[in-house]
Amino acid sequence: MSNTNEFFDLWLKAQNQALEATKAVSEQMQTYINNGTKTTNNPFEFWQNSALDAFTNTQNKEKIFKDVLVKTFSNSKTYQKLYEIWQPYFKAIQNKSLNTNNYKNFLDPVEIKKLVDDLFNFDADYFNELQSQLKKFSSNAEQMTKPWMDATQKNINLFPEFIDGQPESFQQMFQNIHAAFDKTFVKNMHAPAVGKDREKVELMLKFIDDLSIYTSKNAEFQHAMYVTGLSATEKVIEAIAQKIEQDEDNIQFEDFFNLWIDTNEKTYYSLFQTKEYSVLKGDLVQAGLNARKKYFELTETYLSDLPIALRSEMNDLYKTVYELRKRIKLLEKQIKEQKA
Amino acid sequence: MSKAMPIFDPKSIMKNFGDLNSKLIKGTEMLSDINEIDVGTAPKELVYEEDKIQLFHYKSDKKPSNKTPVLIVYALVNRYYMLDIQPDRSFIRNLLDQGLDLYIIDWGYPTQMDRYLSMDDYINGYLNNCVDVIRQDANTEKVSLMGICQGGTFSTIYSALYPEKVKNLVTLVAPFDFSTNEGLLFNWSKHLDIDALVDNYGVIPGDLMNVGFLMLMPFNLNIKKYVDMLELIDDKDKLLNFLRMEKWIFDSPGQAGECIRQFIKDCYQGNKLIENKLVVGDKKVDLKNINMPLLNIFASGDHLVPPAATKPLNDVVGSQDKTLYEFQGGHIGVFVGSRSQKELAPAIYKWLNERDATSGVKIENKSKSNQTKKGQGEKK
Repeated sequence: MSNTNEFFDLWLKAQNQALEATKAVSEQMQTYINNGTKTTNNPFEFWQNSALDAFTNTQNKEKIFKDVLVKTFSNSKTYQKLYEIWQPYFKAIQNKSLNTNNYKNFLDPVEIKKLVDDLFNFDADYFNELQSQLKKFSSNAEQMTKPWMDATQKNINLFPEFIDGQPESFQQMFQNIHAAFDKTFVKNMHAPAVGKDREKVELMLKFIDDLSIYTSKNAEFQHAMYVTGLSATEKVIEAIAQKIEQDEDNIQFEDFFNLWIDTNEKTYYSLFQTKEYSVLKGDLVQAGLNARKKYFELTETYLSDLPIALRSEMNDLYKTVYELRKRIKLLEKQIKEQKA
Repeated sequence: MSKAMPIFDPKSIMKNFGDLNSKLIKGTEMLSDINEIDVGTAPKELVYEEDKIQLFHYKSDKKPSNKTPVLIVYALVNRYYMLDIQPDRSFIRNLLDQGLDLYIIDWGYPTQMDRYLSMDDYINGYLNNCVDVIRQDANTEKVSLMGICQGGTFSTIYSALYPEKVKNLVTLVAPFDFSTNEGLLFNWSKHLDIDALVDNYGVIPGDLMNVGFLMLMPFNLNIKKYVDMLELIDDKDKLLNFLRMEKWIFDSPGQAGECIRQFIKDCYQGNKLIENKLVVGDKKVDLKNINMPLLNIFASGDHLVPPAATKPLNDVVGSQDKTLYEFQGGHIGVFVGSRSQKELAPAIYKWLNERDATSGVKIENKSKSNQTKKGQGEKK
């Protein structure tokens, strides 16, 4: 393979032949190819996207058909992506430029990270955005904290008067707190000083705290997964080097693919079976659930004024129905036994 | 590493990707041609229903040669039609053909309304009621139970609580000793905050459970399986079988919160069953009460329920007639593998049939590797 263009030219040729052979299907696909919304310079990927669109937009079948097709196409892309990532390494082998010192230079860790992201559903954009929002919140929180610190200091100064039994000092202390609230929560969230909305704000703060913990745990978890991915990559390189040393000169890409799968599976399994991973995974799930729980509590506080049944109220109802149903079954059984 | 290597020949790579492309086209065409994925086709009739559960009685042209009806108790986490996934590899059809009279419970799909259903409701309620219905239906004092995976654990608990209603107990790839660290699920569950999970979701979504199952072998189950599928894309029957299995894997009912809470806490985390400390409802489970013949089947290559979790049951039950049977294969292979059809189903029938006539007859386990230090495969 002299260059990438040649590679894609040959590729395009191969698939044109394949398309010829399936005219009935390709006619339908063609509409989508012409009007395709996804653009790419890679003809293989372009065709895949178009075919997938055609199938998922026109077929009215069980969901499993679409799921299988989406997964098959997606993993064919992974198969292809794997080749792209490893292509510089393969070329280096062919150009005789590979040696024990430079072999790592031919693989792009960013691309390997993307593969891990895809496989384990890490949404990098989502977490970047979340982290950015939390940072903004933290900055806002600093501005919010200052009036409260000032109010606290003023109240400390007033405290001797308060214990001396001067009632106006208590009033002043309350006003200080009220002023701090006005400067912070009211300004930032348009919330009044007391009542249910204060609960919302408190809940919001707790939710943000839990979300921060979750983000932090997730970063720890992802790091463990990336490090394992890189370790697996090095093992694949070592395995290929070993094959080269053993003069195995007929390795096909399919062999490489199987080697890559097996090595990754084993390397990740080694991680998965450690107690540290189980604990980390448990902590991550718990952190996510804590944030989720606060989110739903918060949602309920916003919905509580509306004439709709809330989740917590429905749970109470379900419990009552469950208990009544159980009671009825027991009574029916007793009647039946008595009759017998 | 400096020598020239003729590996990854460009022509073969082009052919490889060209073939892949052609197979994708063919696959799309094939998937367009298949309109329905039929599973669980063995004829059966509904004989009882309660809330969302249903009890079915399988019909067979052949009159059962075994007098005692057998109730199959499947796990709550997947659908029972795995046992009848395709007509030519149906564990159910095979057992019917052998001469068993089969019933099966369909646990249904719990909704939020079912979040408070507990192990007590499933075992002392639904399962007990189904057993009573069969006893009445078949005019018999006792039924045989055949419990699968989590259903095997439930059947064992039931047999300890109601030994007077159970003639024989057959368990397949079921966990009893949860102290093992051999299976990833066992490790992960020990550090799972099940309270947080149940309090959040009420009914744990099946999809959430599936994420955990797929993480057991992420590269094979998420990537390789689908690339390999393209190899059988030309064969409509094989493709259909692949689709049947996919349908089963992702057809996962939600888990009633209180039931899974106790199952994880008391079994996976507390290991109370094997230690005779488990309480279901107001009843204490003492495995010594299991006095009926026991056939405990484990799979040597089971990555979901490792043999170490299954085998110890035979050491703690009160039965005099107990058999440990090793199946060489994996968790799912027990039901759909060719060895399952040829060896396991007939062996189960034979074991049951011998105890149907006269109890306490020993059976030879055909599996050679069954001859372990504990002498599995023979009456203990």
